[in-house]
Formats: sequence, C-alpha cells, structure tokens
Amino acid sequence: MINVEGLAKTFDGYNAVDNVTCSIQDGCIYGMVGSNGSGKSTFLRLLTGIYKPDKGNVYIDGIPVYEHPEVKNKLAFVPDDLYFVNNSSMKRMAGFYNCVYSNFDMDRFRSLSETFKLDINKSVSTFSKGMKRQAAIILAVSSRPQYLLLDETFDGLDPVMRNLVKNVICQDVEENNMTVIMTSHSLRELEDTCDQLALLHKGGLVLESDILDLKTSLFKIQIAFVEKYDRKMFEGFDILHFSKHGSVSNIIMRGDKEAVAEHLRAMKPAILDILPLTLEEVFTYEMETLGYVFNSEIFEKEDRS
Amino acid sequence: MKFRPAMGLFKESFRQLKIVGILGCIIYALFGIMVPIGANISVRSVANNYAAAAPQTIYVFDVTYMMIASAVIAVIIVPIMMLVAFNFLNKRNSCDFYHAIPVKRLPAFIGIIMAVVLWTIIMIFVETFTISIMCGILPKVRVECGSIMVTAVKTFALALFFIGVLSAGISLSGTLFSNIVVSGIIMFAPRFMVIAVINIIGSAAECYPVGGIMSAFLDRGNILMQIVRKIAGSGTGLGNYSAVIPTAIEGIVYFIIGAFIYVHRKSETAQKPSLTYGVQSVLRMVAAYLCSLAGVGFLIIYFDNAGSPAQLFYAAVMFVLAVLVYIMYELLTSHKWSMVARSLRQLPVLVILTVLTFAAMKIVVYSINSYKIVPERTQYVEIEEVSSYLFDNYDIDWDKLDRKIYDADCINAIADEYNDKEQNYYNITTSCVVTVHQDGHNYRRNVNLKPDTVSRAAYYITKRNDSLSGNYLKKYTNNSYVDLDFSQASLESSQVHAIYDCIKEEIEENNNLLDVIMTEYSSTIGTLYISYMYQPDAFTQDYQQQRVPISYKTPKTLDLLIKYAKSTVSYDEYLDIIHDKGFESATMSVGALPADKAFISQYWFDYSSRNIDLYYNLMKIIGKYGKKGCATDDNAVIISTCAYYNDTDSDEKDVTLYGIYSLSDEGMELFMKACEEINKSSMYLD
Repeated sequence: MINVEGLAKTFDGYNAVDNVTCSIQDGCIYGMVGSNGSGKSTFLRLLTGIYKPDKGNVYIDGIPVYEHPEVKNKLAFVPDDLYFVNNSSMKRMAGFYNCVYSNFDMDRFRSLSETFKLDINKSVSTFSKGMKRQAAIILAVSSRPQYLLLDETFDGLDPVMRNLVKNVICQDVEENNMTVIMTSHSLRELEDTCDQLALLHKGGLVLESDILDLKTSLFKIQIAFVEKYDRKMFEGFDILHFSKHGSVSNIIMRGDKEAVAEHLRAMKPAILDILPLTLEEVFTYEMETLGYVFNSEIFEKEDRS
Repeated sequence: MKFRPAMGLFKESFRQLKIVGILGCIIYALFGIMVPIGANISVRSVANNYAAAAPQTIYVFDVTYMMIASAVIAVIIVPIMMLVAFNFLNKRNSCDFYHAIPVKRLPAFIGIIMAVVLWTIIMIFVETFTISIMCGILPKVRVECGSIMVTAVKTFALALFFIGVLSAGISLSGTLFSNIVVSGIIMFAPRFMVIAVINIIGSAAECYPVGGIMSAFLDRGNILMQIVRKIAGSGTGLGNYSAVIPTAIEGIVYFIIGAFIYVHRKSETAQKPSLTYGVQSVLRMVAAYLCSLAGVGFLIIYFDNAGSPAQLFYAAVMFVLAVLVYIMYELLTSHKWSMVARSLRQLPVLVILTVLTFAAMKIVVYSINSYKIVPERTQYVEIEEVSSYLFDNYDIDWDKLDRKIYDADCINAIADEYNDKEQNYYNITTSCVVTVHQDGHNYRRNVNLKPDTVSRAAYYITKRNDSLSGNYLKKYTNNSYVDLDFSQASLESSQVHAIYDCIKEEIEENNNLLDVIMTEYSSTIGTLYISYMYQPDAFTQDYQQQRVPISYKTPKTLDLLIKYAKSTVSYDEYLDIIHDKGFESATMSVGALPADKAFISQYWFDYSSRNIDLYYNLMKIIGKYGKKGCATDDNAVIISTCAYYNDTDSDEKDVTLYGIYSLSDEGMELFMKACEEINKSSMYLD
C-alpha cells in the first residue's frame, strides 16, 4: 500500500506538489488527471523516489521510498520522456534492467516483445514514438513490479496498442495484485481502465474518489411538468446543478438513482429521463461544488466571498 | 549503510565505456609498438655509422618522455570516459531513469567510477605489456622494468587525480559544458591561486623564500603540474617520484567530495549549470577572481617595488578581464541574459574580495619586509639551502646534518648581512635560505651572505656534526684522475700526483680534513680536483669529483706546489718587464699566509692602468723586505703572476713568477697596506 503524507515539492519557488495526502490500496488502478503543470509528473517522481520531498514523505508498505532500493525494486516507472541507453537495443536494455531489478523476467520480456511485434535486436533509436513507449512498457512490466507507475501512458499509442497495453496491465493487476498509478490529462483515457481517480490542480489533490461511485452517484435528470414549477419543488434532493429552459429542467443530482427515480415518478412529471453522466461531466460538476469554475481545461477557484 | 558498489551499474557502465576504452587501448598499444620500433631504427643507424666504436649501443628508454606521452593520453582519455559515464546526469530523462532504479546513490556512484578505473588499468596494462614485449623483441632497445612500472604507477596516479576532479566537477554541474568548466576550475583554480599569491609575495618581498613552496605546488606535489612545466620547457621534476602519492591523494579527496555531492544532488539539477544558484555564484566568482588576483599582483608589485606605470595598466586590464569573465561565465553556462543581469547584483562582492586581497597581501608583504634579525634574541640560525661550492660535496650528506648555528659571531654576521641588504648589493654574495629562530618563532628568509660568512657557517656546521667520518679521500684511489687548478702553472702528471699524495699525508697528520675542504675561497691558492669513475649499475658510468683547496692550512703542499711551479723569470726581470714599454697585461694572485691574516687576492692590470705603480710598489716591497721562504714562516706571503709583453720582435710573450717569500715585520705591514691600496682602486679578477 502506498501512503502519501503531506507531500510537497518546490522548484525555484514554484509549488509543484503542495501538501498532498492520500492512500493507494494494493491491486487498484489509480488514475490521476490534471491540467498541464498540475503536478502529476512531479507526484509520480516523488512516488518513484527520483525526487526527494521537501516536506512530507511517501511510504510503500510502511517504508519510505527515497534511497531505499528494497522498496524501489518493487516499483517500475515509465515516464513521459523516455530514456534508453545510446544506440541500445531492447535486448541490451533488458540486460540493464536484469542487472538492477532482482525480479526481472527475461522470458516475459521476450514473450511480450513477440506479442507487441518488436524486434529486440534492433536499436531503439530507430523505433517510432509509439514503439518506444511500447518498449518502455514491456521493460517495466517485465520487471514484475508490485507497483507500476505510468506517466502519460497512452501517448503515441494507436487504439489497437492502447487496448493491448490495457490488457497487459489489467492482467497483471488481476493475477499479481499489481497496483498501477497512471496519469493523463485526458479523462476519457482513464475512464475505461482506472478504478480510482484523483484530480490534481496547481500541485494540490482536489478530488479523489472511486470511479464507480463517481459515475453512479451522480446522474442527470431531465424533467418537465405541465404546471408551473421551480427549484423549490425539489427540495430534499442533493442537487449539484439546476437549469430550466421553458418547462424542461436539467438537474444534476447526487444520490441513490432508484430511490430518486421513484420519488420523482411519484411527482407525476410530464417528462422524466434519468441519464448517466460522462466522467468529464461528473468532474465538472464536482469541481463546481468545490468552488472551481470550469473554463475549458483551466480550473479557477471561484471567490464566493 | 553498505558501501558495496552496485555491480549491475558497474557492469553496465563498463559496457557503455567500451568504445572509449577500446580506442584508448588501441592508442596505448600503438604507442607501445611504434615508439620502440622508432628507437630501434634510430639506434641501428647510429650503430651502423659508428660500427667500430659503438657496436653494443643500446637505447635505454627515457622514462621522462614515456611518462609525458602516456600521461597526455590519460589526460585526454580518462576525462572523456568520465564525461561519457556520467553524461546521464546532464539530461532530465536519463537522470530520472538512473535515480529511479533500485540502487542507492553512493553504490551507484562507486560502481560507475570503478568501471572507469578498470578501463584505465586495462589501458595502462596494454601499454606496459606492449612496450615490454617490443623491447624484448627488438635488439637495440631496452627498458628497465623498474622504470616502466614506475611510469605505470605515475600514469595511474594521474588518472586517479582526473577521476577525482571530474567526479566533483560533474556532480556540481548539470550540462556538458559546465562539467568541463567546473572541473577545470577545480583542477587549476586552487593551485593557481596559491601559486599566484606565493609569486606576488615572493616578488614584493624578495627576502621571503618561495622556492620550496612553489616547488611543492608545481613539481613535487602534482604530476600534472610536472608535465605542464616539462612541456612548457621548464621544470625538471618529472623524473622524481615524490608527486605520485600527493597526486593520488588529491584525486581521492576530490573523489570523496564528488561522492558526497552526488549523493545529495537533486535529480532536477540536470540541464542546469550547477547545483544551486549559490553554487553557480561561487563558481562564477572564482573564475573572475583568478583574473582580479593577477591584477592585485600587478598593483602590489607597483606599490612595493616602485614599478612602472605599465604595471598599473596591466592591473587595470586584469580587472576589466575579471568583469568580462564574470559575465561570460554566467552567459555561457546558463545561456540566459536574465541570469546575467541577476548575477550583476553580486559583482560588488568580487570588488570587495579584490580589495580585501590587496589589503591582506600588503600587510603580509610589509610584515615580511619589516622583519629584522636581532642577534641578542636569536637562539639559532639554520642554513637550509645555499648555492655554494662549500655545501656541494658528494661526501657530505647535508640533509642529514644538524645545520643549526649557535655561534654568536656567525649569527651576528648573518644578521648584519640580512638587516643591511643594501651593503651586499654591490658585493659578491652567495644566496642562502635560512631559518631564524628568534623569540621562540621561526622566520624563514632569503639572505645574501659574503663568501667568508658562508665558509664560516659551513665550517661551524661540519664541526658540530660528529657523525662526519671524514672518509672523503679514501675512496679516491690511485686510479683516480687528479687535476690541478693553479694560476697559469702547467705541472706534469707525476707532479700533480705528488701534490695529491702530499696533501693527503698532511691532512692525515693534522687531522684537519674538514678544515681543508671548507677553506674559504678568499684563502684558496690552488685547487686539486680528484675525479673517479664509478658504475651505479651494469649499464651506466658516472663520475664524482672532489675538490681539495690548497691554502695556508696545507703549508707543506703549498711549498711543494710552488717548488713545482717553475718561474720563467727572476724577480727583478719581472719588475723590469711590467715597467717596460712592451708590457701588455698581467694577472696576479698575491696574499698573506699566516692564519691570522690569511687572504689571497687576484688582480689584473695592463699598461694603461692608472695604478700600475701600486703593483710595482707591491713587488718592490716584497723584493726589498722579503727573501725566499716557506709557507710556515711567520710573515709568509705568496705571489703567482703571469705577465704578457711584446719583445723586440713584436711577438707577444708571457712570463710567470711564483714564489713564497718571508717578509720582515715592517715589510709585512707595508705589504698589507699596499694590498689595501690596490683593493681600493684596482679591478678585481674574479
């Protein structure tokens, strides 16, 4: 289990990560989303022990990560900016990984390379961007990590390869209880794969929740009545957003969907539709309740004083 | 914490350095093959030309040049290996990768360094092996096993130095350019600063001996400095081994510093000029300070030595250069004008440092120059270094002697000659380095001593040391070659040997070997040079030479010398010649022999001399008040002279006159006065 307590990291006066506290259970796929410069990559590097925290600490199974090789041996990190030894082939890099990671599985490496149809004897510098990312993921996964950290995981991968990567990751999670932490600036990428989601903004952890909870606890209601009505009619419901155009209202509501639906039917509306929300919409409305105004992809906390 | 290097990283780094390492091995192998072949060809041609004379000619490798070549290769290849091995620190992605793998930083650092060290050892082995094989195969070339091993050790020590310096430089910086610049600053700046300060003090305070300190920093202390000086054409220390351990230790110290910095270095330093802005500021300041230090030097010399305005100009140039270096350093390392602008706020610090340095050095120079030796408060004076033949004696190991002088007269003489430096300016003096133990403190100074003071000091030192056994002349057997230096006299070989036998006998009889060896120059009449050949090893021949002065201390030998040195004219004939219009010139040695007034003076005069009458007068005194005598007479004087004149045929001829004469008391008094008058007005010979 990963425990993060009061984690902070500053670069030249800029708070890249600002007092982040969270826990990541074993066996989950934890997604982190945030705008550019929100601190996702920095957070991952703190988790991996590349950066030393300025405040707080990261513990994996109770042991701090920084300068503890026995903990780092359980981690594998695939960064956004990949690195391979100059003019090396995948085989050569596998040799390097084999030297430093005690659990590196050469057979798995060869097997995955075949699956992804990558020539392990060819220089990685001749690979395309997507192929390099595949190579990096293969090497990371072949290390048999307990914790796999992926930064901008699917960047450069075609849809077929994305699915393949997802399958490989999910297989390890299922079979070996591997924990995966992946970051992206796109919710759609993470929606299908993750079971936990967190939102980082300006270095701080703004929102963290189970995806299923997020998706099922919020829903959109389109409702209309013959007689005149207003918002007061829906007192008692947990409303995040209410808008009325003519006689039709769009309401974003939190709660038990069945119970809410039954209650609304009892009010005998002319129109009643209960629609699921996309993850983006969920995030948008959740952020609004926290006081952040959604403007494209830039979140600004609204001053409600 | 375990300090075992990370073997995985060691193996990986070793592989990464393969190309550079193999290239280095090829270069070393080529060097090891081609140089002996070239030497063999060269020696063959010599042997062919002088077949009869030198059929057995063999070229013995000069270790010095072998060292330069092999070290130059190490100077280039080892830094390249370090830059390649640690290049990952200069890019964010590679730096992050290396910091993410499950290896602690210190073991990782050591593992990578070990890979560089191993390649260095391999290259040195390749060089040593190929040279040894080639010298074994080639008939005309030989290399001594001892010297080649020493060269290998010296090369390795130099490589360790570079590894240490670069490990510190690379750990401190985050780009390839700054790796090189910072390593260069670490390598040269401390040494340059010390050498500059020593040089400035030595120039402004000439009485302060900086030679030993300079030597420690230039020759004895570091192999790289030895090579630089050798390539620049100065310095002779490359052959000595004293720099091996200091060089290696210096490298290890830098390595430890580099390791400490590496362990604490942040991964985000990659692609930045240095660890922090503070470190960058310090490095920038150091680079600029080197120039301003030179400017301070010019100013110090100008003010203390009353130098020319040119030195003020040079100082101004160096200060401007310092500012330029300050700006350019920031610009070239950070590539940002904004950082340059920010750095200008710290420029006043450089100014303050420069002013403080100038003030400090002025105080030091003043303190040195104002020191006076006070004999009453001086416990002893120790002679450290002296460039005098009296201290240049193969049979006396001066380093093992206790060279402290407690004798009050000697101390007074040294004090006088140090405190009144002006008096020695026009006199013939010998430069010495002395340590004065005064008021419980030691003061080390340069002092120019008169020859008599030097000989007095030498005599006193040798007398104090009972360990000297005086075995000097015993090893000079009958097979030794003996030469004599006495005026214009030309003695036969048997006569010279007879003089040698006589002096040996006389010294044994009087048991005054040291006395004789240490005879001051001003009392020496003739000198025996005894040389003998010896073989330090099977292939080398060398010779040693011992000089034995003949003086009033060896009267029997002196008498024998005069007896053998036949005059070609009589006394009266000589007087006529120097008054004749055909007289050209003459050299004359004349002196008194009694121990209480012993001296020998040498003169030269010609027909145009204004004081020719003084010489004539001196000769008349001898003729009037003296008769043929011997060296042990109470008022014995000695004369040896050679005069050149044109006879009636206008051919230049020469005549010689030698003699020991015994004067009356009155004659002796007149003789001494006459010599004094000549001394005041004559030209001195030597």
